[in-house]
Formats: sequence, structure tokens, C-alpha cells
Amino acid sequence: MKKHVEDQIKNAIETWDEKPADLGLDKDLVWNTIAAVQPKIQDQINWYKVSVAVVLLLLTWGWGNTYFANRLLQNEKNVMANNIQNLSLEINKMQQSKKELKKSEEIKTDTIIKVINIANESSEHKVLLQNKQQLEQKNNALLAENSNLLAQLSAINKQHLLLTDSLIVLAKSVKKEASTQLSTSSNICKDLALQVNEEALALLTEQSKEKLNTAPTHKKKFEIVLFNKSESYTSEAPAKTGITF
Amino acid sequence: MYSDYLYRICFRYLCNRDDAHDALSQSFLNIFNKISETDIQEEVVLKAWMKRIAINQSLMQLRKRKMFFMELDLIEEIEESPLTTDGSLLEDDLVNMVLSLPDGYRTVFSLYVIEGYKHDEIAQKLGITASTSKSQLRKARLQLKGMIEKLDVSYETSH
Repeated sequence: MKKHVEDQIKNAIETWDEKPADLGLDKDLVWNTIAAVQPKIQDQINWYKVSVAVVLLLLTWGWGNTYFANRLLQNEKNVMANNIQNLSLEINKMQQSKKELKKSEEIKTDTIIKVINIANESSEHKVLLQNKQQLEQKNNALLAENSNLLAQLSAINKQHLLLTDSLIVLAKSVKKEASTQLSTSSNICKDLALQVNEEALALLTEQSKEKLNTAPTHKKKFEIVLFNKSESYTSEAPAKTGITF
Repeated sequence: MYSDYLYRICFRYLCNRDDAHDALSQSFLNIFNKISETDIQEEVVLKAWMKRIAINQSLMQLRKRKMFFMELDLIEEIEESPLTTDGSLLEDDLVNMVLSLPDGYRTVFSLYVIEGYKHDEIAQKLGITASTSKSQLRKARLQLKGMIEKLDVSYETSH
């Protein structure tokens, strides 16, 4: 569509709009409609007023609430400020007492130093200190010796225990040997024949008589010969005096 | 004083007397309520302001019609060709042609060609997209072209 056609249409419509001829407008209907709508506006205004009043009430309530809350907070703040003041006073007091304590401690150390100075100056105390030192040295030496002795004692105890153990083992072995000997002797008992060298026995008896008066000049063997079917045993142990059969 | 003028505007958009009456009544109510807030002193400005109120009220009335937007969506795309007229057409014929357009076409055409709104503004006023406004305008032009051609033919045959 060309521009001039649109312009033509636009002009036609604008002219039509401005025409005074009636197009069926019922002015009474329009005014009646407007009059009927007016109360609605009044209602709207009333509702508007009510809503405003409600909002004002809410705002007032909120303001009052915040005011009271603010007052409470103010009171709490005052209480807290008082507490803070009290605490600061207490802290100051504690700091002062701490300083005093420090001062008193310093004084004590001074007095101790003085006492030590006085002790050094006195000769009696020096002697006593020397004696004390000597005694301590002796005591230490004694303690060292005591510990050495205890160590030795424990070593001896250990050796004693070892010896007793070996003796017990020896006794056991002797017993065992004896029992074996007895068993072997019982086996050979049947074919046992005892030959006694009577001369030697007579000599032995004589010697025993002589021993009562004179010392022995020479030793003579007492031979016991045990005959077995298979072997013969000869005991060459020194004969004990006073053996009787 | 302005009731005829405003009624014609409302009627041009609504094409219905009852709806135009309602729109005019509501427009006057709006004018009475808001005139105290303005500082209009010239008659031309006052007339234009009242016209704008009447158009807006008519559009609000128009948007209540359920079919209005459906019409906007359902019309098919048609190729546009230049429209020419020999200038012999009567003003009443042109007005009747515009008034005989469907609601959607007529509204967009009136807002764009007669009131001078841009597509973005039309889209905002009608709650549609700018592209829809453009397509509606194109279709309105095509339909008007057809009507003008028919009218030219009838004039030729009658003469």
C-alpha cells in the first residue's frame, strides 16, 4: 500500500472523527452509567480509608512495639554499662593487687639474699658447711662401697647356687652309679666266690694292733678278689683299719 | 462537548455501540478522576489527552473479547503488493472499509496509521510481540487493498 493511500485513509478517518453528526450516541445512557459507577468510587474510597486506617493502626502498633523494645534495650544497655564499669574497677583492683604481690615477692627475694650473705660471712657456718660437705663425701663413698659389696654378695650367691646345683647333679649321678653297681653285683652274685688272703688279713689285724702304739711304717695292700665266671675284679683301695668280717 | 468525538473514537475501535458506550463512560470517569492531577491549559492538548484515554479504554474493552487475540494468530501470511487508488474514493467508503476489518487488523492499523504509534508501543498496548503487530498491519493493508480494488471495479461498472 502506498503512502498516499494511507494518508488518504488517515485524513478520511480524522474527518470522520470530527463530524458533528450523531452516530447513535446516547448521552443519557453514558451519564447514567457514570452515575451508577460513582457509588463504586465512593465504596472504593471507603475501603481505601479503611485500609489506610488499618495500615495506620499496624504502623502505630509496630511503632509502639519498637518503642518499648527500644526502651528495654536501653535499660539493658545501662545495666551492661554498669556491669562493665564494675568489671573495669575490679580489673583495676586486681591489677593493683598483682603489682603489690610482685613488690612483696621482690622484697622476699631481697631478704633471702641478705640471709645468704650473712651466712657466708660467719666462720662457724663455713666450718659447718665444710663438715657437711665432708660428711656428704664420706656418705657417698660409703654408699659406693655398699653397692660394690652388694654386687659381690650377689656374685657369691650366684656361685653358691651354681655349686649347690652341681652337687645335686653329682649326688644324683652317684646314686645312679650306685644303683647300677648294685644291679650288676646282684647279677654276678650267683657265681661269686670270695678268696681271702688270710696272711694279709692277719698282718692287717696285727698292724691294727701296732697302730695303737706305734706309727705305721709302710702300707700293705688288702686285696679282695671277686671271682666271676667271666671276669675278675680287684679293689686296690687302701684298706680301712678296723674292717671286720 | 467532546462526547461525540470520543464516542466516534471508541466506536472506531470497538465497532459496537454498547461497547462504545461502556468505553466512553469509563473514559469520562478516568478523565474526571485524573484531570485534577494534570496542568493542561490548551484545548488541543486536552483533546489529545482525552483521545488517548478513550483509545486506551477501548483497547482494554477490546482485550476482553476472547476472540480478539485468536484472530491475530490464525490469519495466514499473504504476499503484500502495492496498493494504488485513483483518489476518487469517498471518505465514507474508506472509513467503512477500515471499520469492516477484523478486530485485530483494524486495531493494529488504526494504532499504526491513524494514531501514529510504533510497533513496539502497539505490542506493549495489546500484549503481543512487535513482529505480530507488523504481520497484522501487513495483512490489514492487503485486505484493504482487496476492498479498494473491489470498490474501484464497482465504481467502473456503475459509471
